[in-house]
Amino acid sequence: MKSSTSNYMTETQGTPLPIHCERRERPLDPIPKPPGPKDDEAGPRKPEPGSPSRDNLLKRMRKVDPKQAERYRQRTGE
Amino acid sequence: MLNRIFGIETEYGLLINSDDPEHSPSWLAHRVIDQVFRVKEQGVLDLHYRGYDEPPGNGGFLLNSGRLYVDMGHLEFASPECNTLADLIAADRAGDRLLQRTLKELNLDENISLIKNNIDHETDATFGCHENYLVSRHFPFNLKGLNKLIPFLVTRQIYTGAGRIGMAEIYDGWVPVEQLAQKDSGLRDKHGRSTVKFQISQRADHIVNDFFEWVQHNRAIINTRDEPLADPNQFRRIHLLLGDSNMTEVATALKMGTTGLVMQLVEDGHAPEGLDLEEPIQALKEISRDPTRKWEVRLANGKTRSAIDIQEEFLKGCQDHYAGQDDDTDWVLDNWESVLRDLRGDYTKLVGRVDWASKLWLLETFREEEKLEWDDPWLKSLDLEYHNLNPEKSLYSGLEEEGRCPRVTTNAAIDLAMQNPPRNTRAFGRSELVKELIGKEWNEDPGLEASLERRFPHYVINWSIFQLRGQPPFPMPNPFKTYVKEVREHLAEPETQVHSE
Repeated sequence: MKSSTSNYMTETQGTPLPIHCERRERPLDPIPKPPGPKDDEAGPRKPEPGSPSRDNLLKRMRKVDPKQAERYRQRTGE
Repeated sequence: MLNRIFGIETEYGLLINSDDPEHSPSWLAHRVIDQVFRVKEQGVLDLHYRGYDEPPGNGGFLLNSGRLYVDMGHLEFASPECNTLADLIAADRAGDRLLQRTLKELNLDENISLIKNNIDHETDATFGCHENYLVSRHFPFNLKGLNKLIPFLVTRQIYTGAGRIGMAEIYDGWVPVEQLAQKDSGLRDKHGRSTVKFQISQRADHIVNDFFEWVQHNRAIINTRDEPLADPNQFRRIHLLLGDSNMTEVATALKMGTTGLVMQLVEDGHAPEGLDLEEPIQALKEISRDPTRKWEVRLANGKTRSAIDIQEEFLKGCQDHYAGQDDDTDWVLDNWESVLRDLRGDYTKLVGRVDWASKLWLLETFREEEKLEWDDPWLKSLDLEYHNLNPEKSLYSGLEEEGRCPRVTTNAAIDLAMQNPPRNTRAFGRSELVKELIGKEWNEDPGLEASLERRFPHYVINWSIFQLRGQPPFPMPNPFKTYVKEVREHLAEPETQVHSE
């Protein structure tokens, strides 16, 4: 599976290097391959009931102020 | 991607977590601008009027070559010109991260939240996430050509929609109210309340026309303003404002990647035939609000097709003509196919890849746990929290932390993109200029007193051209060219050096 290319690069500290020897910073991981057509477990799965993942998400959701949407009054933009 | 430059412009909502706030969202937005440009010197503020509502100091270009500014009271970040999807996603998220970091620097992050969404539930305001695609000037920018894009754009929301609770009440002078009231019949109970519990798109309610050139009121599926920000003899910029702000990297990359490929189909004359919709605006809203997720629409030829069927026709066209074209194309084709396949089954397979599916699963889970009705205000608050830029609070970030969200870029690349431009587009050259101008004191030269020249600001920077006072304009008409060598030479010439007094 090919990955999209990063064209963000850094220059070493100090004097900028000529373009031809600038260091390329590439993504650390390739873009994940999507599941194949015969894969019954295709796609990320929803967190199962009782799983730590689901509990963490519920904990995060319970911290949300129930009234914050009432305070979110925005100007119409573009 | 082949012959394509991408850009994303995001308007952020600002939530003040107080019943009695000391300052307005607009005031706070300007505090952020001040911190980014004047205190942290991450870019250079405009010294000229860019429009009547964009006075000097309202915003400017950043070191990463994107723009940060206040637009209609909203903080807005426009990404630099990107040629690959990995760069685009890194640049887009770098904007998010820069803003959140700034809130933290200002000790505002406890009480202020920046929300990357497109609606508020209280006033039905909307604000955009605009997409930019550079195409050839030969693109058939006429009714025949653009009509080929419409069925694709109307149906792509099944994987690009960010989802929302409820629906907007649009009673705008531009909208034929009688017609709208008729369209909405059946969507309200006897008390006039919306019966739409959840819909997959945030912007669908606010798009009221097929084609139009304005970006506020009468928002259209395709914006027809001709402003290429490049050589108008070679290029055209297709500007879209119907899309939602996405949180998942896969959704952002698919939104931009599939649309870029379908534009190539249209440019090359390969767009599928027979998919014209009977009523595109109606279809846009019906798909978004369909609780059955069958997403069936009527075609102009009298047939009925599902949104997935229509997307698969476009996918097949792109597979037939562009498979193997380049890495980005192959990534898009693989992921497009995968998402469409999963949309035919249990939507929870899309959690982490598609925003509306991720949000719906979170809301359903919470609703069941807390035994809430769909009209409980807590759910609207969760809807917002999904889009919070603060990673400690954001529900999207919660999913990402749990490893539920496939990545298209990396945190290292995003960090890099906060202060660096992509180095294969015009953004690179502009960044060299910004770097040169940062930190300079702009004292007046007595020799220029009362001269015409003095009326010109010390610098004027736009996307495709810049000019320093007393010097000729420096055009950058080709977004595929970096201009970095030329900009460095221009700045190094004794007569064009930027002096600090």
